[in-house]
Amino acid sequence: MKSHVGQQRLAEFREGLLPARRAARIAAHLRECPRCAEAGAQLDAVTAILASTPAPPMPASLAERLDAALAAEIARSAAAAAPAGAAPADGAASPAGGRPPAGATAPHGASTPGERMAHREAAAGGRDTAGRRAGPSRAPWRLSLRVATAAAAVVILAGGGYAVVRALSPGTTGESASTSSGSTAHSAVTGPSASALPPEAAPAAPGAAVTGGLPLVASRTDYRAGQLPAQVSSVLRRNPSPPRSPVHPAAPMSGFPHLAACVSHITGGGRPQLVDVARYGGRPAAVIVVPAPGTATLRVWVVGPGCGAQGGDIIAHFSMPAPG
Amino acid sequence: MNGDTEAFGLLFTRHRERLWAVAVRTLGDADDAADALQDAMISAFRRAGSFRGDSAVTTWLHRIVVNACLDLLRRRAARPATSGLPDGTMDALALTAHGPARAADSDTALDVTAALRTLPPDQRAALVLVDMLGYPVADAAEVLGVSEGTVKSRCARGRARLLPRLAHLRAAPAAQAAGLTPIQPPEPTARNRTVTPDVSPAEGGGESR
Repeated sequence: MKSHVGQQRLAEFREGLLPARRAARIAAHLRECPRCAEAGAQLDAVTAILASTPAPPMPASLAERLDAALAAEIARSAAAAAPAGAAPADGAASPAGGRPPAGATAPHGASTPGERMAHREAAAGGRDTAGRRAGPSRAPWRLSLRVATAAAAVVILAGGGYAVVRALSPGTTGESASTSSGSTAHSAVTGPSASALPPEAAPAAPGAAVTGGLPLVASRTDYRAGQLPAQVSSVLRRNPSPPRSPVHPAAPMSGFPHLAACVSHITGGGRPQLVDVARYGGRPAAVIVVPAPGTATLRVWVVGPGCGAQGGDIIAHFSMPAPG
Repeated sequence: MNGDTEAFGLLFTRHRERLWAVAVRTLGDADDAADALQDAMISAFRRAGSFRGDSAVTTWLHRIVVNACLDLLRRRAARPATSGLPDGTMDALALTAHGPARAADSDTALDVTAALRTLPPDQRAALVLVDMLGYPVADAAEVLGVSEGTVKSRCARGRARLLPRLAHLRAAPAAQAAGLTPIQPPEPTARNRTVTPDVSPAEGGGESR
């Protein structure tokens, strides 16, 4: 065999892909032809180069984004599984800003480039496209917190599970919230009357919807005593505008059955900036970050799964300056 | 439901670094890889109920990620390309992996990324799985949903296409160690029995001259 072997044919030969007669001819040629033998060695080098080129590590911001997207998807699917009118968890009936980032929950292949772009900006620590961090309009948030808290109260009665979605009654709770907007949510949601909400007072209201939820993230940070402020700053930087996930027991925060009530108790009905369901010292813990009004200070609580409408299971509490 | 969703979250989290590596290497773009990985995760979550364990769950997850990547590449190909790579994409890709101290390695990563992008998606996906990430051909075949012979064929063609683009990197120490040994031609009779190559004659390089 006189002619040299083409690179592709040579590569196929080395994978044993050629018919026996042709392979035998090539093998004979390679024994006599240094040039083709060298080309074979170069093919090995290609594999070696590929094998020695590591993939870049997954960006931390993507890990956060995936956690948030999964939490939102779980909440959405759980809501969809509930009876009609219980809790559509998408943006249709949510106030502006109450919806998770579009890219986080868009169906496979359905995101528009614009949505993705917006999400990338958010994930990159950019501005909040919905402007939800500017806080003059507190009413919708307070309302949504009340809804979530009422749901948690029902869970206490019903023992958990789907009762939250089934019993959610935005009409009922929304009404009470709007008529008592001058009072603190704290007294309304943590008092005995909240947990004594009779089940029949919370029928599914057709057409009503959950309005937002907690600014939940699941950073998977393992918070440590000596590093809390730095760790909180890091999570805040990576989550400039956490999606508000409807609180639902099927979501990853299900280890915290009374998280909404706990947050409400701690904030006194105010608005948390972020709730991170993570770990502290290796054990499940939620970190609740609340801006102190009128200052550049953040108040941070670390609570265990036992925290509920009466507080309790508070692991740590401290204040820190709001990061840049 | 509760336990299932938690289990899915744990499962996906356990594998997502590897899945990320598959996506970012197949797509050659960190932003695209992030989108594909997220799409795949949501898609897998929605289809988790239909997963019947007929393949290992890790294979199943890989398949969904690879398909999400290939879908994205096909959508890109269907649309008229604008200007190819956004500025800085490859720089970011290379530099996130290594500090400036490893500039030479970053150059290699850039070259490899650029070279991979010239391959057809099928060949790229096969080479990423087999050569870059070290999956056995049988596993790659299951992930890609094709025969082992097809995986080998795609890898072979991909390597041949990469060769002129990567030849200048042969001096790299890793390549030297692995690549410059004298050629050992495989035993043809032993390896040709089960072969089902998808080599089309029109595309076959043939012998030159």
